Amino acid sequence: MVLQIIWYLLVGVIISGYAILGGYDMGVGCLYLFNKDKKERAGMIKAIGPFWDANQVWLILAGGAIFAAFPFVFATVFSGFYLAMILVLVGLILRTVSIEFRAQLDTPGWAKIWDLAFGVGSFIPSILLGVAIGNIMRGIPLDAQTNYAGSFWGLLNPYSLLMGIFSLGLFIMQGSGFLMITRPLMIKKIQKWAKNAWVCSIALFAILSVITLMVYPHLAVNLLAMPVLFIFPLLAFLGLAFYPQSLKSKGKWRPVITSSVTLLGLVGLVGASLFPRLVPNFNTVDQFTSAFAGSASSVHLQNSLTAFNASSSPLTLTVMLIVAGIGVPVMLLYTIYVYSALSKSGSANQELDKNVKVSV
Amino acid sequence: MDVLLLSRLQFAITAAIHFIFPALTIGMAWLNVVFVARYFRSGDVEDQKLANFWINVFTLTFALGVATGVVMVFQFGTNWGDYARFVGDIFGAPLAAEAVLAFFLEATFLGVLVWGRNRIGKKLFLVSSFLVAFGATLSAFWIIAANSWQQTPAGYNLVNGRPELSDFIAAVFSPSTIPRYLHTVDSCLIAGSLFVVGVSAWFLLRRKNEEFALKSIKTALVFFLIASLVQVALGHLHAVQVANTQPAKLAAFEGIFDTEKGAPMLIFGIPNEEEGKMDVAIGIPKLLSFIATGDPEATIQGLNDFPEDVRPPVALSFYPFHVMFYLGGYFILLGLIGVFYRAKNKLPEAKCFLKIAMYSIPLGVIACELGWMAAEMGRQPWVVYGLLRTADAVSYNVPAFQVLLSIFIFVVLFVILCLVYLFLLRKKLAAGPDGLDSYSFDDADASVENAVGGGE
Repeated sequence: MVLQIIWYLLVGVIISGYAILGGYDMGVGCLYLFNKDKKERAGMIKAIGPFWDANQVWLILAGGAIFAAFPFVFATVFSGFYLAMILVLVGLILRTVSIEFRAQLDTPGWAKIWDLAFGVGSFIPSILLGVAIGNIMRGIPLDAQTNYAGSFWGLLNPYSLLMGIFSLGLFIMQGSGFLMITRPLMIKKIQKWAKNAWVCSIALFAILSVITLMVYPHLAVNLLAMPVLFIFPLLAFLGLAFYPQSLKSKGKWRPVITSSVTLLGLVGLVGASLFPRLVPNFNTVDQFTSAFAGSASSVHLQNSLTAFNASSSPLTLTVMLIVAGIGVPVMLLYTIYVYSALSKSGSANQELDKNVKVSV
Repeated sequence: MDVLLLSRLQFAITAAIHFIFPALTIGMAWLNVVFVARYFRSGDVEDQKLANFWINVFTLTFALGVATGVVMVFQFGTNWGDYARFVGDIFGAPLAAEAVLAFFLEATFLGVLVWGRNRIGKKLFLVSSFLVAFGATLSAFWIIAANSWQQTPAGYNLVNGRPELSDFIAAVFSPSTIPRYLHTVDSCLIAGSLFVVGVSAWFLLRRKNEEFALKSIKTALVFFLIASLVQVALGHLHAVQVANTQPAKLAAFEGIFDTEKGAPMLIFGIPNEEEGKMDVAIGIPKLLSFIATGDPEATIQGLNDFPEDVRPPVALSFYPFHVMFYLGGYFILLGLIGVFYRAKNKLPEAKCFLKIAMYSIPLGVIACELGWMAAEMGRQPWVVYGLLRTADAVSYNVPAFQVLLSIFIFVVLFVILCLVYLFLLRKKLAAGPDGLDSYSFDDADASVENAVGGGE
């Protein structure tokens, strides 16, 4: 029990790590498409140059951790979201190679191709990861073998698509925040992008909250039962509320911190409202609702994948906890060391290490 | 079309293309350490250029490895859902461990090595090159450990027919892990050093940057010969392990259909799977029995004595294994000749050798691929030896059309990436060690800042 809850939390931590770190370089990649200035583009890519690779490892880690801790979730989600997942992979491949390829040749045509690939490769995952979370939140139909029983088009429902645009907006806010630190000379452009992304994000936050409460009230059960969990939506709201102000403040790293707080709050909110479910079975949503209405029933957990029925054995979870307990602190130490070593000599990056210490 | 066949095809194609890059970069990473260490000691600009050149070639290759590798982990979920469910209690752990313990290390310090090298001291430069090589080699360990568990599952109990972890150390160090890991990493060292030998030979043949090329080839040749020689022992160690743990695989590798005492080692053969015999078999009597067990009269079980439904495909195991074996011998020969010229200080004049070395560049990777193919084919029809059949591992809920579409996407994408890789590699080589440093952070960055700042 305890181990499964710990791993539920850890998966949330890893996803937050990706949202915060992978989020900023995804966001920079999306913004890249909006910036036509060649030199500024080069500066943007150089800003994430030393870090993007390690940032993307968080996603690989999320995949590996879900595989190890909740293999049934891993199998159901990735085979169920097959085409969407393939598109995410294509995006990740494109952006990985285009950062490298672009640096190799200095002809305008060449740069154009890989700039486009980099931007598109950042856009696709930024949206689709949000779409995936939207689908998980509302639940997906599962068959008796817990395989996804719906179609590809079923994944593209309005709620999830809005969630996709929401995640895009959040990543762009995060990316803008990172650029505020590393590209101080582009500040006016960045502020404009950040504002637009913020308007979009806060509107979607409001709309999605309303839809969630009206259509999927089961997602509010946990929060009502345990009001302390309201800390998560509160954090998300506060982060969003203070973001515009942070853009104007003198502390260069404030925007990234406020948007990181938003991301943390939102990942926490998703986790808190789903718990202990990892993949709710859409077919049983009616039972959820009746549970919400007060009819005592735990039927709704039986056909969903939860932290308790989809996990690995206690031994595997223990071993993985030990591996993470040794590996993660070491990794954080050298990551912080590298950020500070790289920022010592580069004037533009001086505040980067502060940012990381806070956001990791 | 059948989802099983399509998913197997997709995994084979994506894994084969992915493996090209780690096979090259693991060896190159360790050579980089040697090159950077030399610069660290001498502080010479030429040594710095040499190290930077090889690091740049390494980085380009590494990026392709990262890009194609992203697909691998997720593919277990997308295409092999029932596999993920069946082995999840054991197989996911090494993959997650790889990310936490090795992948972060590699990625973080590669960033330093490439993008930060003008902003850090020589010491951190050296440490970074070491940690990249160490991370890559450690990363290989977790992958091979996971794959070895498929070959020789250990450290588990069957609970309702599904393996549950009972001993993590036993599962990670399954009977085949150490022999397979050493054999694979050494083959990567061979492939990577052969690449550096071949590219240096190309420079020497064109009489371009001769001093640089000579320095590079001298180091790489020694590396290459040692790795090739060590492979004799490691290959043997692995063969003995296969004989002990996977007899059907051994029989397929060696083309043994009928159980015999004092089995021969075939030098050449044409297997006939339908009739269950070798059409052509030229071999050295009793050698296989001797190598596998130490006793020339030992009995080796032939394929015909295994039930039909657990026999691996013979031709697809036999030929890759034998070609790999011969390539191993060829590498020793090539290394010896090279080191001979090196000792006589006649490398630049040894045109014939240099030409052969240059055209041999792909052979190191091909040997790795063939070894992998033999290992995986020889395990069939099992995906986890003796526990789960490949046919029972696939995501049957994914429509065949979607898999077909993803194969199409990946093939087009990967082929384009490989072509661009070759194109850029050529450019990089043509520019040589004096070419522009495409990653230089400080100067370009400063000029960008100034230009932008001036405009505002």
